[in-house]
Amino acid sequence: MKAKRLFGEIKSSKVFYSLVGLIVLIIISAVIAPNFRTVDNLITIFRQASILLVLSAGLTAVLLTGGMDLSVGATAGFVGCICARMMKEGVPILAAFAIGILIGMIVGIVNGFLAGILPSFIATYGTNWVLGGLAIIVMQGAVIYDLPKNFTQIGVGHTGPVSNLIIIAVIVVVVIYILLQRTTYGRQVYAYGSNPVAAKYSAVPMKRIMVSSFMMCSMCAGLAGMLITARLNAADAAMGDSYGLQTVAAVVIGGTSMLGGEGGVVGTVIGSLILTIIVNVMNLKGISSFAQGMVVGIVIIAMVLFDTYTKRKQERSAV
Amino acid sequence: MQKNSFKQTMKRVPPVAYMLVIIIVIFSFMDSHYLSFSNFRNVLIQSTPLMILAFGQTCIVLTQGTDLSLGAQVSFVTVFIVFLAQRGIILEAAMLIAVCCTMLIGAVNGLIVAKGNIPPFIATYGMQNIVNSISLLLTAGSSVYFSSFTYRIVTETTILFIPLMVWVAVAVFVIVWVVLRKTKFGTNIYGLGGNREALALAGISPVKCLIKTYAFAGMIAGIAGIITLCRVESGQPIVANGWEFQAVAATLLGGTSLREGKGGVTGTIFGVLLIQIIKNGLNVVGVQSIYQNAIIGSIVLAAIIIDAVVRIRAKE
Amino acid sequence: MAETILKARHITKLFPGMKALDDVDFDLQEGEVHILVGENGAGKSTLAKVILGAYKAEEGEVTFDNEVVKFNGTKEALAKGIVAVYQEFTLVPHISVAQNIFLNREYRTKLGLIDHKRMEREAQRLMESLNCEYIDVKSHVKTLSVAEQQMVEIAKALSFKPRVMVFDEPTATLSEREVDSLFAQIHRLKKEGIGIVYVSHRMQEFPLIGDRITILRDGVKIKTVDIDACSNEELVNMMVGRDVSQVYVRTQNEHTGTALRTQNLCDYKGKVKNVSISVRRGEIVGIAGLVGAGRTETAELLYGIEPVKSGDVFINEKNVLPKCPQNAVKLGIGLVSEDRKLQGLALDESIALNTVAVSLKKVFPNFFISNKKINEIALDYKKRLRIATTSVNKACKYLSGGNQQKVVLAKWLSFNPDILIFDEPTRGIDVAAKMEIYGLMDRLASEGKAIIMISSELPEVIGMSDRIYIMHEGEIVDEIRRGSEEFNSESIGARMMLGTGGTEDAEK
Repeated sequence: MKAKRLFGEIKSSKVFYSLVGLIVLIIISAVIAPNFRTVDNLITIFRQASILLVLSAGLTAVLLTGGMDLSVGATAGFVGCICARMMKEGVPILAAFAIGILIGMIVGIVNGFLAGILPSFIATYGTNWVLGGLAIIVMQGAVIYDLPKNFTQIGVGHTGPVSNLIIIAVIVVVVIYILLQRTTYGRQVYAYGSNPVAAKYSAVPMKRIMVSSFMMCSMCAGLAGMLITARLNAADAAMGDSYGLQTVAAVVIGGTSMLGGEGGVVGTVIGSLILTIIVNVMNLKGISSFAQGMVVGIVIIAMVLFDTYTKRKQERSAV
Repeated sequence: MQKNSFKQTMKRVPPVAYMLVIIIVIFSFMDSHYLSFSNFRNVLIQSTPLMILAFGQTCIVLTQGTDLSLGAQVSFVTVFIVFLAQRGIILEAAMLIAVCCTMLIGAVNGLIVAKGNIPPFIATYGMQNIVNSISLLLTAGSSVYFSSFTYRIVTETTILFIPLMVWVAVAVFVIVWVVLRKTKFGTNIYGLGGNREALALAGISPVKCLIKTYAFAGMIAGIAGIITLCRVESGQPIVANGWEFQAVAATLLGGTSLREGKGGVTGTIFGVLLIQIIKNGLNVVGVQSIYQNAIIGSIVLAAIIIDAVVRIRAKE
Repeated sequence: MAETILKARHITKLFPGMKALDDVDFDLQEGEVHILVGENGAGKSTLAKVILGAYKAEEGEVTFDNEVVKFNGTKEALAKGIVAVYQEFTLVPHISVAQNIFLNREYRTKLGLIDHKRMEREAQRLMESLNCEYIDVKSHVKTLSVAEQQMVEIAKALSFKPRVMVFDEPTATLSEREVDSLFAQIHRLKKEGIGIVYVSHRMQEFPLIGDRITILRDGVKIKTVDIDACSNEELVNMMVGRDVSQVYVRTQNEHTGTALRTQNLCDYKGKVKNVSISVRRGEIVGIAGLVGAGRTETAELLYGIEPVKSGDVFINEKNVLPKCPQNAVKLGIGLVSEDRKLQGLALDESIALNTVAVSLKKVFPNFFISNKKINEIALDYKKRLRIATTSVNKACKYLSGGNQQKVVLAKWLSFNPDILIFDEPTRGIDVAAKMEIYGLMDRLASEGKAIIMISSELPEVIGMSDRIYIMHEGEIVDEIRRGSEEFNSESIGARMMLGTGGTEDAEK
């Protein structure tokens, strides 16, 4: 009964299209790349997807309010670098971790406030630049490697048979899912994104919702940055850069609307998997990593176009 | 009366002009050689490619859009021209072909934005990555070279002590200014940002206008790319990364509004100069290069924010 | 007898689910101002758009100069000299007046560039012909006042050398003085032999400019009459189509204690000046006034949307200041806002979610929500307010205007505030839904709620209110109680227009 309702819910939403897309993609991949089908590769995909999942789950909240955060990549890089630096200087792992999350939070608050003054994509493009610069300063133009074993264990180790990264990603996704779908806070996020003016007239605390959504996003980015560092066992100022685009892409592919108020974390999970599989297959097929930007760019544009197209069709059929 | 009009002219001076003066004063205190003709000339030369690019971005911002693919287009042009020249095409012809390509990229941007009715920044963000990716693929990620005397003609020929490339920027400025003020196309650009319904009612197709505007900006990005190539004398796939944002910043600082089709290309000059003077000043006073990105980014971001706050206040 | 320029016969226009116009006849003579009047949704704007070629009628024909015309879009009508002066401005803000007037018809020099000088000369001439030479045709439209922009719209229309001009609610955003100068222009145009279709619902204006009136109701033409041959009362009856007293239900109930009181309330924009009003529990207080009189602004001050500049607000005689909507809601104030599509509802969200939009934290104080409970609440209100929908999970955009308004009401009822402000609660909804909303307001009052009702439709304010404040240019100019001699549309209407409290004006 419950499953049936859940299915109905899924079918009526855009997540359905993403899910169909994912299945089709898996089938195609399995056909064209024989080594895609190995268990090892599947585990690799999940592990690769996990960092993207952490990033994009956070970004989902911002997009739901109708905003955009283009600074997640640099935030991840910056926090990862600081964390690595601190551990090299002898700060305990746990403290470094906590400070990393705290920095993410501060970045989010700043982004949230700036988004009240400027269009959020411009404000965060700016903070992206600043944070990238700060990361260079932190690293003093060098690369840090050989981090404490207990720390790298987060990135490469396993708990039981499951990779730590996957466990962390699942926890983050579940927490954000509950926050967005099962709490008054989440309802207000959706109300805000769906129609900000009406939300204001319905006594939704506008500033608080916006700032907290950016905060959530940047905290996730900070966490992801540390996970990247742990997995690489190294830190480099530019390590987060490539994630910026992928994160936006994952959320958009998952069916969360650029205009706010529509979509959710479930879609984002599917979006992240789709994206990771695309990259994975490109690697398996030996396609240059330089081509990834092109594929991801095309997918973003296609998804957004598809989104407006279905919306228009819906509206036309409603009249 | 006299006083009053003075006050009003002061009010009309955009905040960026004050920032410009303050920054110049600060730098000239920090380094005695800062205020020299040769340094001023340096700033002009260094700012040329960004200046040209920002003129194109201004047109886009006037339509309530932003083109985040412009920087990638510049890099692409440098790479593509060298790529073609290496394969035996005359350099000048390659330049022409490259500019046509960026016009086409722009037109595609415009088409997606207009027909898909999607936020311009996301469409062009996607395009940025596509174009970037093409540049990387063409060069396998490194710089490519083709030696030619033409570069030096552009960078070293001087007319009235000022290099030819600066004159190119002046020419682009004049063209954009005339287009905006003196042509139907320009009127329509203001209409796109100000009141699209008015355009439609007057029988003008907003879709066609948008396509034209993005193509126009693409063409200008192409010119900026040629100038960049002449300066760096090689094709570099990521040479102009982030320029699109600097161009947006300069445009906003120059008083062009993202919301209502207001502003113009003249203010953009000040915006670009502000950014370039900061960059140049940091070099002159000897700030280590690892600090520069963060400092420039912070100052530019702060400048846009101060500017936006001042404007919001002024409205109230 | 002047020549008839335009004739429309048996016009029927269908919209999905409704007949917007049903077999309507209309004609227009040279040098005449023909007023189209009716309630919201009566079809007056639709008829105007058919004449302008913006809509294609399913049936019927339009004759222009004794020749049957079929317009494909406004451009073809324009070519014949039928132009519109739009209600929403169709000007581009940051180009010059002259450029706006000649948009897409720019004069050009030999080089192909815009000939600003010539355009400005021509524009100046047009402005002079309108007696508006004080408007600088070189200045950007954005720098002009609303009235000046309206003049530019008219000049733009005139540049097409029109024979027929259609004005759609042109005075909606104008101040009184600006209305006067607009009317002077219309008189001038009339003398030049231009036929004018004037869409409006402000009865006060009709004798000042009109020659004939056509009354529409629910898409049907009721009658065309000469302006002198018809009293205001007859007009209202024809517009509303029923005895007014039957529509409005108002139970006598006790008024106990003052719930809300304001003293010398002012805002920063100068739209609200020294407003002192009060409302008691169980009372419905109307605020009447023209659009732009400051009624909505007053409501938004009370609800904390706009900041209060000076003055005091008392709730249950306690001095409070609603700083933001959250604050106002905590104080027990609710606002059924003016624009339900923009301010009232998240149209893409479901009825259920809109129903609990305000009461969310009250229903779920423990942070976590239950969709089951939300649905239960929504179903309850669907039943109580008779919201016509198959499911409360449907998005609000699929509902009719009346049902949407009911969802807005459900949103507030589920929160249950003590003081409710209704801003234009029946705008653009059908009569049946209107009556239900009146009934609901009456019931709320008898339950002891304090209600403030803002409306442009006089019959409704008079029908529902126990007391009416009349607002004019930001000030309360008068207060009239039910039962007093002046509690009628004549005298209230006159005061709304003129902003005076004396009886001598009412007799005019």
